[in-house]
Amino acid sequence: MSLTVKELSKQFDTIPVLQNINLEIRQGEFLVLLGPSGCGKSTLLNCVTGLEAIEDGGSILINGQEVTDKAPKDRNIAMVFQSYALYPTMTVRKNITFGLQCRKVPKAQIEQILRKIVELLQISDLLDRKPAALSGGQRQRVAIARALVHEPDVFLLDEPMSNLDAKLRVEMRVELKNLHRRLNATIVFVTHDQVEAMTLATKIAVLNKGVLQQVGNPDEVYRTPTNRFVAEFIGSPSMNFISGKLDVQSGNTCFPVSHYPFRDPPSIGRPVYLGVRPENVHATPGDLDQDTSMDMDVRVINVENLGPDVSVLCKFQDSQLIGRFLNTSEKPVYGKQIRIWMDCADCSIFCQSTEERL
Amino acid sequence: MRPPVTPFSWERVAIYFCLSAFLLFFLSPLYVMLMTSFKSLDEIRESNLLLPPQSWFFGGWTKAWDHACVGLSCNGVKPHFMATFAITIPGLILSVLVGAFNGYALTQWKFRGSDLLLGGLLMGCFMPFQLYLIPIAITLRELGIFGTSFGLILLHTVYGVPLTTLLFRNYFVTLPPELMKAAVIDGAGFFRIFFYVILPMSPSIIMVAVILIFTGIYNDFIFALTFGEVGKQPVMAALNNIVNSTYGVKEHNVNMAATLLTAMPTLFIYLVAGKFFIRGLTSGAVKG
Repeated sequence: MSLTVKELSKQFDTIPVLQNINLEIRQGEFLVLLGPSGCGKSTLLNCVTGLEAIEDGGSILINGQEVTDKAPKDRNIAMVFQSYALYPTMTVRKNITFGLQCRKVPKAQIEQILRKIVELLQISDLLDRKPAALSGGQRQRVAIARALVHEPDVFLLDEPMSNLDAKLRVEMRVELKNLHRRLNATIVFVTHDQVEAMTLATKIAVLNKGVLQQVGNPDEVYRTPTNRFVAEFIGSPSMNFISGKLDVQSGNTCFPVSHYPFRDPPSIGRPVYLGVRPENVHATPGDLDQDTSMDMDVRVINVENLGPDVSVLCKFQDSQLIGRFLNTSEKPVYGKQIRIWMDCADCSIFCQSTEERL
Repeated sequence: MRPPVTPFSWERVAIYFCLSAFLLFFLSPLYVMLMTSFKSLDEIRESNLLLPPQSWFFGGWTKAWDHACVGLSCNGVKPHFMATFAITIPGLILSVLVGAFNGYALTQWKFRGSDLLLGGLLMGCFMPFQLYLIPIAITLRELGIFGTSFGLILLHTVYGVPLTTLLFRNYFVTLPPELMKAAVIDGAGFFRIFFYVILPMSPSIIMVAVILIFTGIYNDFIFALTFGEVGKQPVMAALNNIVNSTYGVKEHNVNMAATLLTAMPTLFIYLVAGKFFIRGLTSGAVKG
């Protein structure tokens, strides 16, 4: 029950959509393909399903078996579509069992599988309805049921939640996570929503312009983004970037990054971006470590009350910073000069020219 | 709910006046035909064209149906109806089915050059029939089906397919592509997807195709006249024969009755299926 994508490239006419993608998904992993729209994530998924032919090099392996040239139905995969793609003229029962009938599964067995799936997803009272008579969440369930009946090696989900409202989305997220746990299924989930990615994934693959940027578990991708794109794309509000130079000792402002695990020995004078997450910007020194934190005076230019905390946009020299402070009775006031403390223990440093992590 | 009462306005009066005038204009020939068909020949000669018959006379209708002369045989339009349906129904089924298949293949299973093929097929829609008469005659002769009902069926199928293909193609391109993908992943093949997923979604466009092709084949005159089987010509050719050959006096009542009889099936189809027709025509254009 594993999936391997090897050196996959894909072009539409002369435009490269996927460039040398390598991915490895093991049994029971929940991989989220994350990227902005148009980054090639759906194309990648279509290549895995076999709906898109692989003509420009690369191969797909499922369970170690080469399936690059196999028809979709022979790959033992199942897919849930963004629009659900339920057959509008069939009842829910027919929708779920259609694939089994196509595969000539005996009737008694179909009935048995159906009963099991229906119970699992709690849709037994919807069986005789047509998709038009279902709500968004119910359609979603039926679409998942239709994928589950095949007991596939790999589940593919193409932005399955983007048609649900916010509340339902949270519910479905929990449900999907539960389902994954219960079935120990191997799942590939495509989304452009970084919250979905962070909450669902055991492994995130960030894709941009057809190039795989980073693959790792949610913490890795969040804490140590491999380049500025990943850093900006994951996390809301987005990471703060302050441009500067690497130096041994400071000029006017210096950030204590001596502990920073540089990949290569840092070269002095190199122009860099320092990336700090909003939650590492504080309104009080608290019990921050002196060695990794610094204070600075900034001007407040916007305050957003988010309930448990406030998001404060400040101006620091030429750049803007967002800080996420606990929502106390003393909120920062617009236009005021305040002092903030930045914790650089979890910061990221990117080269200004390549935007790669240093 | 009752529609809101619109206040009186001269514009409205003008609109209704125009509409009524047009209605009268278009219905008056039908009225005259109906009235004339129920008059005896004597009354036709003496009375006004627009007056209803003084005594209702059904002889025109019975003669038209049963013993008006088409060429040498005097059996009315009755046998020709049968001949027409024997051609229309197989031709209809074949051209709708083939057109649906074509449309499906051209949209959902696109292949290299499929658009070119569609373009070529559409040429068939825009060529006048007369252009082909002699080549068709030669082809049918070579195939050994010249002057047979089978030849006409083949002919009508070939000429119906471009139109039905275009109709079905334009409808099928509006279907969401995910449905096809889902069915492919479900393991359904070309035919299963067509019969179980695509066709059940297309009743309105099927109705449109059926109406257009039915009236097309039924109303066809030039092929029926040229390639119809002697003695078993389709009804249009027979009607022409009845109306245009005169033995002594022109029997207007018989001619009108025969014409009305001949027009009835298409009239019936439009009345019954007109609703579907409009729905189907628009459903192809706008998604939903």
